[in-house]
Amino acid sequence: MKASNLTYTMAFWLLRFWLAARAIGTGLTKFITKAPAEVANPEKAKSIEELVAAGMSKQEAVESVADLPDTVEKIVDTLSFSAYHGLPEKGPMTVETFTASPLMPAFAVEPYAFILGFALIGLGVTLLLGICTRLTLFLMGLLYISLTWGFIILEPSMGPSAAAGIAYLGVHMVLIVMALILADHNRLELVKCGSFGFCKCCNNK
Amino acid sequence: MKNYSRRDFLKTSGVACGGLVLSSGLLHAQGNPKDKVNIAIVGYGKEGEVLVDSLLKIPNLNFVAVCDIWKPRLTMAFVRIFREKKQKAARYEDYKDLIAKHAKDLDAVVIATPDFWHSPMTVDFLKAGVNVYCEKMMSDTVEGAKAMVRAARESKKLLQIGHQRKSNPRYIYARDVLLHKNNICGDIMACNGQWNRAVTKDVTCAPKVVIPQETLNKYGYKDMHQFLNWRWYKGLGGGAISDLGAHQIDIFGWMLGARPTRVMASGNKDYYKKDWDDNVMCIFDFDKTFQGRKAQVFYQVLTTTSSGGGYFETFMGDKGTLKMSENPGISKLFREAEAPKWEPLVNQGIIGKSNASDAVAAVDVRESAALASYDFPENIPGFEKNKPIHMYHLENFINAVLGKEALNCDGEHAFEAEAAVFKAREAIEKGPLDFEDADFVVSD
Repeated sequence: MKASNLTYTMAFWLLRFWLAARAIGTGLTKFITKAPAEVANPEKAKSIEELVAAGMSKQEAVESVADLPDTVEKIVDTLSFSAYHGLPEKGPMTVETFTASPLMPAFAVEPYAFILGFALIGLGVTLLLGICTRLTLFLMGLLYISLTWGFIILEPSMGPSAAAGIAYLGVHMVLIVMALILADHNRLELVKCGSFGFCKCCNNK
Repeated sequence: MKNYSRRDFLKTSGVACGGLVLSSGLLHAQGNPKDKVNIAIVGYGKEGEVLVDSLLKIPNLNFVAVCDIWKPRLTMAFVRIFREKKQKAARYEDYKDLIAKHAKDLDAVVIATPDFWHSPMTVDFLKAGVNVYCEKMMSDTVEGAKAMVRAARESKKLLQIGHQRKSNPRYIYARDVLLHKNNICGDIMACNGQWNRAVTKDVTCAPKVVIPQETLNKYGYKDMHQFLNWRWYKGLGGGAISDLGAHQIDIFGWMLGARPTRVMASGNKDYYKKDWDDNVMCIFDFDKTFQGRKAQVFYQVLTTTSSGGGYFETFMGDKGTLKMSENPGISKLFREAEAPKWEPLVNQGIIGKSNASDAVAAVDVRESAALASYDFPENIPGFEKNKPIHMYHLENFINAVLGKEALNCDGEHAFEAEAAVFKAREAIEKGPLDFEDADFVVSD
């Protein structure tokens, strides 16, 4: 039984949104850092609760713990441009590790690390909005190939976990290829391929 | 006032073993013939919290007041007491205000402040007619400790010092039943002990709960860091040899039934670079133990490693070794290969079963045969597996206040124990030192 165009369209949307979410999320993690934040003092709330449970009036309980600060500083995860790290700062996948590898052009490692997070977010947003979808998918595939190359370099030292990373990225590649195959059924594009006269390779209908 | 013998005490407190012959070392109980004890807490830091944990489990206590210069901690103590006991303890920053307002109603106070406050607080409470339980060390200075003993004598009030092992039924059993009655170790010629603890960071706190500078200065602290880390500072505390070592050095003299004769000690402050030593190693000579023998005691307290099996005291004789620790899992008995069999003791329930898995095979002909390992007996009179280790000592104090028991570690005897610690600290600076009788005695 032949699938309808709507079925193909929905299949493409699912792939498109999944790949976009994956890329944006991964890119954003590169801006995560630990930072202090003021949060309500859980000790104070708990104390009031306990005093009331033990038979004290709410007002007296609140007055009794007036010496406890209303808020406390807590270390929380937050996003920050200053915290950006394209490659991890610790562990086996640092800039230093790749720079030292004979399988990587040393001069390219730092620039690559610099653009990686922005590239993931940029491609993810572009895919989500539907801007030059085919070209975006193709570039995303190239990006995942570059990540795969990193794992290949690390495989002798990391062993099975690097091999798992390669397979994991392979799954991403399969999804990108499937998305490209289904791209003819795309709808909801902000900028269609070929709209501005470039990207002639795309099948602009 | 009734004179309580040690035997009476043991019967009353329920930790007696039939036929024990026990040494003296106790003051007479002199508490009030009432069943409710009005109590105050001064100092609600980490140790204060531990003591309050146990006190809250003791029935018939009326928490009248709590005192601490750090308001958040004071509030936490108040909340804790109300939650557990539904008693609204009055709160004070200055203990003198507490005395002025409540001394006439108070039966007892528990002091768990930094060492340098122990003496003035204890003296003031005793003078005000309040029985005192004070954490060890008695003071950061010998003179401060002596002042506490004199105040107890003059006030005729109770002064218990927090060497809690002396009320621990396992320690009492080891001393009275295993060492003294059954001579399980034979002639004890050497002892060693240690408290090895991993590196710890300085204590810090959030800026918004810092005590105002004028309050810190009023109570003798230069800044908040000093307040939180007082144990390392001269003039405030006594370092690891006081904080940890005092408990165990006390036990050597208590178990051996003697005062040390000589001490040599070495300290090292190269790691934390604080006022007091990070690591201390010392040797005490005992010229005449309860067995009439000489014995040497090696003790070390290390704050830069947890290696070496934690904290324990061992008593090594020619027939066997007693390894004691507040942690029952570390406590063991070892029989020398040539010593008489211990099976009769096992059958009588005096010691536990042999534990063959602990034996280590000899690999060289010069090695002695492996020691046979035995556990403590399953049931030790008065010992409860899940009871907090400080609770026995606090119960003893409360019962003494109620006139039901004598103190297990009064000021006079605590001073004897702590004199050895003061002298060891001095020996680090001056080299090997001889003890004199005057070191252990507080003159009037």
